[in-house]
Formats: sequence, structure tokens, C-alpha cells
Amino acid sequence: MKTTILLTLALAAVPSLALATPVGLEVEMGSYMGEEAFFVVYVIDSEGRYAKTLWVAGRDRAYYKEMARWWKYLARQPQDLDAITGASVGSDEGVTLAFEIDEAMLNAGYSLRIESAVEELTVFAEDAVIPLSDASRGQTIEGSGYIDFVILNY
Amino acid sequence: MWRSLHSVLALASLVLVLMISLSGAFLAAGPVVEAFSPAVQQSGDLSVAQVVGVLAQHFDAPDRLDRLPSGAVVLTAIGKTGPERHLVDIRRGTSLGLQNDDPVTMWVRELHRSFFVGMNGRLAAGGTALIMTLLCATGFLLLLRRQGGWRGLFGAVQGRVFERLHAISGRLCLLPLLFMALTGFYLTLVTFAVIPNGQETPPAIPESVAELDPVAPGTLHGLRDIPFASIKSVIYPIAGDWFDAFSVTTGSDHVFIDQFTGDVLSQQPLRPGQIGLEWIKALHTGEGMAPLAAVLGLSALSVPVFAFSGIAVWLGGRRRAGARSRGNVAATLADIVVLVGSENGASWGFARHLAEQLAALGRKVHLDALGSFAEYPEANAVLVLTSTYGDGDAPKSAAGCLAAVRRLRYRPKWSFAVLGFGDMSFANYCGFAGDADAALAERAERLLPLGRVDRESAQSFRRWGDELGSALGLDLRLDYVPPRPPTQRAVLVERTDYGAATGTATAVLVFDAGSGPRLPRCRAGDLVGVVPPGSRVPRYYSPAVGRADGRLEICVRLIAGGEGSGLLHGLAMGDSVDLFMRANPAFHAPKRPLILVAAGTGISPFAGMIRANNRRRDVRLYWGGRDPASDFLYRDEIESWLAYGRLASFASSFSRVGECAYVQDRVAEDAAVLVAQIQAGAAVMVCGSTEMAAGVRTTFDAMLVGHGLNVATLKARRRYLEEIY
Repeated sequence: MKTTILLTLALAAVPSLALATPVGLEVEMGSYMGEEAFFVVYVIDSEGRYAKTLWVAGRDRAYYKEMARWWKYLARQPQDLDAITGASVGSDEGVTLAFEIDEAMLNAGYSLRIESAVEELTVFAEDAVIPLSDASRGQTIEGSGYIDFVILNY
Repeated sequence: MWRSLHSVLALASLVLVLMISLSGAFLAAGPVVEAFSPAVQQSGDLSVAQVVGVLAQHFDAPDRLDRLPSGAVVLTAIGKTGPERHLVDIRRGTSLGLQNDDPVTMWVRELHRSFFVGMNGRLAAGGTALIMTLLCATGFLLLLRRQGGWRGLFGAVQGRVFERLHAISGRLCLLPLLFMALTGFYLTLVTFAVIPNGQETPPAIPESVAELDPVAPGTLHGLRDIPFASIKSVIYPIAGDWFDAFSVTTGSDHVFIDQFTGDVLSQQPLRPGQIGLEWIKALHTGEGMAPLAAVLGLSALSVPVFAFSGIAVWLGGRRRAGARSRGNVAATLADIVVLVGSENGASWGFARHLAEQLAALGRKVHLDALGSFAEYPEANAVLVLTSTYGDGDAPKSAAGCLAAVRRLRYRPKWSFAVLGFGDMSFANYCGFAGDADAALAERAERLLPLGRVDRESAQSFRRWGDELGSALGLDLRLDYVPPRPPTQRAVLVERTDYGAATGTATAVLVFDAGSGPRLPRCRAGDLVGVVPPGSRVPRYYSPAVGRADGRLEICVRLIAGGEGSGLLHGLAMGDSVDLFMRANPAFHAPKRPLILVAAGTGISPFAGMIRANNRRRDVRLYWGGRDPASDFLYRDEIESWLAYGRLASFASSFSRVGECAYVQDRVAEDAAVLVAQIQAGAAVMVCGSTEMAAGVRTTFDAMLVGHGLNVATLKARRRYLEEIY
């Protein structure tokens, strides 16, 4: 409990030191036959190394392990997910996510990667990759798995 | 109480339970079929390195490798359009084809898990599993009660046909069904995160130490040390992540191996939740355990049988309850309870009349079968009206009631009275009523001494009613005359007389329908009731059936003062008599080798069974008379039965000539042969007087001593049947 509080205080203190930019991400799912999709949005650096998780769609933690690549990163670099978890998203549905990204990550080779999974179906470790750069602002980027397309706004 | 809970739960969940069990039966076929799939392989002493090495020759981008419970191995590799799941040959490294779930199976699985309505459906499926658990538990309690406790659990099952079907399938399938319901419920609890699945947080996955030149995974010593037979899965390092490691999951641990050096980076035990879930899942689905899956699948198929027979029993109970009495008050609310022990329904008429009269006097009356005996918290009086079956046994509707009386936990506030129905000419007149009276006296206050009604006498019933009325302070008048059964006219067409010389005047009478409708068909062992004119009470005889001409044959001995036998013996050719048929399944011949023992006219039901023995089953007949010159019934026909093999052997004894033997003496002489026959599965049927039946019983008990058998256990298995008059 104490750790959580300390962690929360620490996170609350961060924006005052580093400048954070609000970022919006529209995610449109394609058509597929199955349960609602779980997906996770995380930041990778220019070398492809995991930096941090921004959003987890899907509340049941028992299924997180299915997103095996991200699960490995999380295992090596634990993070409190409570405040960045939302509902899973069904076939043909859309959702707009909002998060704050450290300004230093923009136009510096960082990207967002989305890993997605549907129960009993294939897991897409790299459903979509969105470079965090001005070039991809407002662009429609197609997904390769359950995601039809995503649009980055900031 | 348990019974109502059982029926309410079953009816409320009927559709869901049927959907779940039928889909479950279908899914259970999966593991059975899979067991014969060519993809199922023995891992032998292959190591993980050998399998991974040989697979590397055929697949470029392996993602993970799973060894399924069946023994088949699936390699997931990233293909051009995304991940592909290949069944693989672990010795050659080749693909045996893609592993695609059959759409029908997927559809049925979804039905089984969620009725196609997502998480709400899963909740409903879990609820159904819980209800099935409760149905199994209450069903087991009811079965115990019905069979009279643990000892009777595997004994013979009595009752109506659907009750028997329900109870027998219960005995057979209760455990597997309970097993599936409990494991299914566990899986639901895991789905809703009530029980952890042990994978809510990741294990601590280490990184490979340093980026070196790529190494063929088949050469990594860490993988060489793990036998392939011990693993569940291998997760390959992610292609773009040089720092990633091999992750091997065995039945008990996660093992992480450096992708360049092959060193074991760390080893961590699986969490208990994960091990538990895998076991329960395997037990529920039978995956990799084809015999278990077969048993579970077949048991699931019994559920429609339960549903069908259960509804039939329930409807039958409602119909009978409706017929019991209008305005029957619930057992827990009634202040007077009337309980009926009846073999053929005759005592019900008296009981219904009593209940109606009490209700008309403003009392709250509950009328029920004696076998449903319970605690009756609000009752002031419990009135038991019961007949007796055979030689002092409980009649059908009273099964288990003595045990239930002895289980009473508190001394009840009600007092009791027992009225027995019987026939004074029987040795053990109202024997069971006496037992019930004695058992109740140990637990409760007596209201009236044991009453007895001889041959449905309306006078004795009225007298008992007067006594009861004064004991209860009620102006009770019982005027009940049992309804006369619908009868049919039969005309005497043949008559043979025997036994005049030995004082046992016996006549074989043959009837046909005359100009009336055809006589009803009956089976050997059924009874024919003859109603003397001016009487309402029928006399029962065991007719000899199976005559080719469809006529009815009754063998009857003249008894001094006997109204029925006097009437029949007084008939001349062409005279007619009123009669009706009554089914008597308790004395139908079992489909086994038979040992038939009869004295005098007791031979007649056996004559019908022997005539019907077209299959030449091993049937032996022992018969006792008085004098071969005078009362040797069926003498000529017995010879033709032996000649045609319908009868395997015949032994007779005569009590008035020669060595003056009784039929049980002949039985005792053949003891060795008969014991061997009984041990091989033969059934014994006895028909005759009370004394003769008792003598035969003693003889068989004496013969069976030292063979682990006795008449009581044979009776319980329906292999020792008696018809006593």
C-alpha cells in the first residue's frame, strides 16, 4: 500500500519536471469473428527496446499473458497499470484513447506499438506501429491484425 | 423437502442443463478421436534441443511450441499472413498440416461455455454447473432414502418404471456428473477471477546476457538438459529482441535460457493457481485422457434420460397427489396427517374418505404415501392406514418408512394411530401394521391401539372411525364402501376334478368370454379377481395362462366355508362368473434359469410360465401333492413339457403315500445341483400356502449356508419370488 502511494506521488511529481504533451489515438477495429479484443499500446525506442506502457484495453488480468511479447517486457520492467486500463473492444468498434507523452519522445525515433489478442484466436505481436513524429500526425495507419486502422493526434 | 428442491431446480434449469450436457457429450468425443490421430507421438527420450533443432530446418520464424495433453505437438510460426499453427513431426521436423479448429467444434464449445451470449452466458453456464452439483447432491440423498440407507444403495430398485429408470441411471452416472459439474464450476470461478489462474502477473523473465553471433538453438546445452516429454511449451526469443531468452515451461517450472550461451538464466516454480487450473481443465475436458473423456461423454448422454424419467415421475406424482384428495394441505402446515401404505391401491380409497371427512369437519389434513414420512411440525395426530405385503413386509408405498420413523430427531408433539388392512386367513395378519405401530410407539404418544380391518370390511372401518372421533373430540362418521372393480362375464366351458379321495377337492376350470367381449390378456404370474355375487370384495387366483385358445384357466381348491372357492366349485358347464384381471409384476418370471416350487394349486402360474418357455430356458419344477392317484394336477401336460424341453426336470412329492414327503424334502435332496444353479444366476419362485412357503424358505436358507447367500439377499435382488395364499 505504502509503495503504491509513494509511486503515485512520484508519478504526480513527474509532469512538473518533464514537459508532457497530451496525445490522442483513435483505434478502429476491423471485422472478425470472436470475443472482444484485448490490446496494449506501448512505447519503444529507436532501437526497438521497450520503454513504457501507455494503455491496456481489457480488464481481466488473467488474459494479459496472451499478449506474450509485451508480457515479457512488463515482466522485466513492472509498471502499475491501474490508471491506464480500460475496456476491451469488440469487432467493428472504435475507441479514442488519450494519454500524455514526454515531449522528449516526440520526433526522437520513438514509436507506439500495439499488440492485440482475441480469446482462442491468433495473437498479433505487432498489430500496428505508429512512429511518434510529426509525419504521422493525422495519418491513417493500417493495422495488420484485429485493428483496421489507427490515427495519431497531438 | 429435498424432493421439492430437487424437482424445482431440475425443472427451472431443464433447458440449460440439457444444452450443457448434450454439447458436453459432443465435445467429449474430441479427445477420444484425437487419441487416434497420426499427430499423437511418444516423446521417448528426445530432448528439447533435439526437437527444436530438427524443427529449425523446416521453419524460419518459430514463435512457440506446445506439447498438447494428447501427445500432439503444435509449432506456431510467423508466416506471410500472420501466425500459423502447424502440427509437427518431432523426429523429422516436418509439418503434418495446419491445426485449425473445426468450426462445428468451435460452435459447440461456445454453446457449452456461454450459450453464445458472452460473459453473461458464462455466468449462466457456471450457474448451471452449480445447479447440477445440487441436483447430484439432492438426488443422492433421495436415492439413499429410497433405498433405505447405504446398505441398500446397490440393492434392487423397486417402484414404477420411470422411478426405477431414474434411480438406476442415478446410481450409474451420479459420480461422473457430479465430477463434471464441480470441475465446470471451478472453471467458471477462474473465469470470473474468484479463484486465481496463477498468471495475473508475469514471472520475472530475465534477459540474455550479451548480444553475440546467432547460435543454432539445437546446440544450446540448457535445452539439451530438458527432456521433451517433461515440457508443456517452449517460447522462442522474439526475433527482433536480441536480449530475449528461451522460456521453457514444464509441468512444475518456468526455465529461462540464454539464446546465445545456452546457460540457464533462472528457474521459477509455477504458481499453485496455474497448476490447479491445468489439472481441473484436463479433468473436465478429458484432454489427453481418452478413457476418461469417453466415460464423461457417455454419462453426459444420460442427462436426457434423467430429464425424461424425472418429468414422468414428477407428472405421475402430481397426478396421484391430485387424486389423493382435493384441498390437500401441505405437510408442514397440516394438523392431521393421514399416511397410506398400499400395495395395489385398495387402502387409498379408505384413506381418501377419512381425509375428506376430517377436512369436512374443518381440520387441516395432509394425505400422503407412508413412504414420504417426515416430521410434521404442526400436526396433532398422524394416522397410518396400511396393508401388508407378503409375509409381514412393507407394501410398495410404505418403502423406507420404518427407518424414517426411527430417524425422528425429537419426540413429536403429535400422537399416532395405526389401522392395518389385511386378510385374517393369512398367518401374519396385518403384520406390517403391527411393525409400524411398534416403531411409532418408541418415538411418539399413542392415540388409539392398533386397529385391524379384515378383508376391507366397512363395519370394522366405521367402528375404528368412531373410536378415532371420540379420541380426537370430533363427530366423525366413516361410511365407506370400497368401489367394486369393473368386471367381465366369463363362461365355464371345461372342468376337470381332482382330489376327491384325499379330501382336497380341486378343480381346473376353463372359461371363455361366451358371447361377450374377449377376455383380457394377462401374463403368467398376474392375478384374476373373482367377485362373488352380493359381495364387494374380490378373491384372487393365479390363473394358468398361455393356452393356445386364449381361454382362461383357473385351478382352485375347495376350502370349507370359502366364499370364492365355494362359488367356483359350484359352477356347472355354461354357468358364468364375474371376474377381472390384476397385473402382478412382483411375480413375473425373471429372464433367468428358474427353480419353481409349488404345492397343490400353486402350480397354476408356473404352468403358464412353462408353456411360454419357447426358448427352452433351464426351468426346474418341484411340486407337492397328496396322492398321485387323486390330485396329480397337470400330469399329462407335464410329460409333454419335459418331452419338448420346455421343462428341464420335474420332481414330485406326495404327503399321503409312500415316504410321505413334502415338496421341500425333494428340494433338499437336490441341494448340490440347486445351489450351483443359484450361484450361476438362477431365480427361485415359490407359490403355495403360507406354511409351505415358510418351509421352503427354511430349506433354501439351510442349503445356502456356507455359500455366502441366503433367501433375504436373493429376495432383495429379485431372485427369490413368492406368491402366498
